[in-house]
Amino acid sequence: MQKNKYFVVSLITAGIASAVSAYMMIAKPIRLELALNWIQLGCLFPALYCTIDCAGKDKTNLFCQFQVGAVSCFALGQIYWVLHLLIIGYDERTFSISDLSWIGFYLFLFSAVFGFINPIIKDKKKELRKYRAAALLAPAAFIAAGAVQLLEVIQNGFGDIFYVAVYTAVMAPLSYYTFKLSILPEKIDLRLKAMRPYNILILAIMTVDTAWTFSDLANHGSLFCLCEFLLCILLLSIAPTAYGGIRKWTTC
Amino acid sequence: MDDLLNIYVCITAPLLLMFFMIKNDSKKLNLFLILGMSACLAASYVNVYLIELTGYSGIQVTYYVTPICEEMIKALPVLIYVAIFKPESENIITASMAIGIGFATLENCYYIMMDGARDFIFLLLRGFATGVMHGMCTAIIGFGLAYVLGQKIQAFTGIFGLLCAAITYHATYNLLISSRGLVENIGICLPVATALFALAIIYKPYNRLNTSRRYQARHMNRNHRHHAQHAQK
Repeated sequence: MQKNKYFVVSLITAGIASAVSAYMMIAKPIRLELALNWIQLGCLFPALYCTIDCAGKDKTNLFCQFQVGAVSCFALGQIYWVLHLLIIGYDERTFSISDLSWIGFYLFLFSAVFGFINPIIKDKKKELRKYRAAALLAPAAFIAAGAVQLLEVIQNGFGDIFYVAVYTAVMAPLSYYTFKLSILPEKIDLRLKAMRPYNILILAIMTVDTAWTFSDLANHGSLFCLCEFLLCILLLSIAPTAYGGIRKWTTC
Repeated sequence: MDDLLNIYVCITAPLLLMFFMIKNDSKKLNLFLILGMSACLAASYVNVYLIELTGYSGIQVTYYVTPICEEMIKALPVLIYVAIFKPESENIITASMAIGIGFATLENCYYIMMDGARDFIFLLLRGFATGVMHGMCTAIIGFGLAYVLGQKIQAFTGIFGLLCAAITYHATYNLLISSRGLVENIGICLPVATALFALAIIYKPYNRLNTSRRYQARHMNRNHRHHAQHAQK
């Protein structure tokens, strides 16, 4: 019932966000970038409510507390970015503080994945070696993407080298653990199956975020809008997926 | 900058004298207030250096540099306190709030010195807003530390995550307060509104927990009485 509650809240918000996004794309009453940021901000409040409510059910569960931390960080960054666009406008010369908050978002997710899901498997087993090796593909892909972004930043002089490097440094280990936990067979531990949707979701968020950065650097308008919208939907899915995973975990 | 140092000495000297007269918790609180003011003084010196280093204008420094610098300097005493003394979670939150409020005290003095007193009501509101904002930003780190204490790698990532959140919140406040008109008024109201929201969230689960405990206790008492009566019969 509780899972349905979060799911229903997320579904309704996603529906409203889709309708508003469609209207903004057709009618264009304000600049599309600002509109999409407003929509993302609108989606973050229900997501934050769901994670806070989920964490309030069991105050001893640090996994849920980290979800609150992650979504709060993202929401704070989004609030700052929207205000920055409204008050100052888009200033290419300076970096944005909101990036710090988005790095915080990934740090909290890393804490949740590394500290709570990863310890359930005895990683040193020989038969798991192939999975560990395969999981290295994910950080390799993110590091390659980061390198391309760095080259783009150096060539065009647009963006911030420091942030690209930090993002890559945070995303690479997170992608390794999420990908490894997603491909490991269920027979090792049933709790892995319970948390699989959550791991896939985090991996999807990172992929969409990287695509978003590329679209921003390449000035690709339609890809940028698509990524912004997908990110809204994925952020809304954090609470139902985390709660569903935790509930199944306890019954394993 | 010398004026700020003078004010710092003027405020901290009597507080230091008081430090030898008071005891226990009040002594700690006094010390954290002084530490907060010292952090403010240190931050002001570092800010001057960063203005020269980045080449940003005064307003750009307020937007982009001071939140990072101030939050990091404010977090240092809290981190040292936790690392050395390993206090209880409640003490961490009180200490971080005191450090933040000490920081805000000296910053308000600096603000009056630089911009002059616009009007009393504005100063009163700004004083409260800055106090709550600085207190809350440091308390975010303290509150988080109380949670992640005893964890291994989660403690590091958690602390950095919370620091990022505190910096962004501070930057948002600076962004609003540096404007004029309605936006500035929103900026003044923001810390108090956030503090009330945070208190509502923190105390709601506690209340729920207490209510359920009270219910359990009452239920157990009733069962106990019932069993006692049954035994007597």
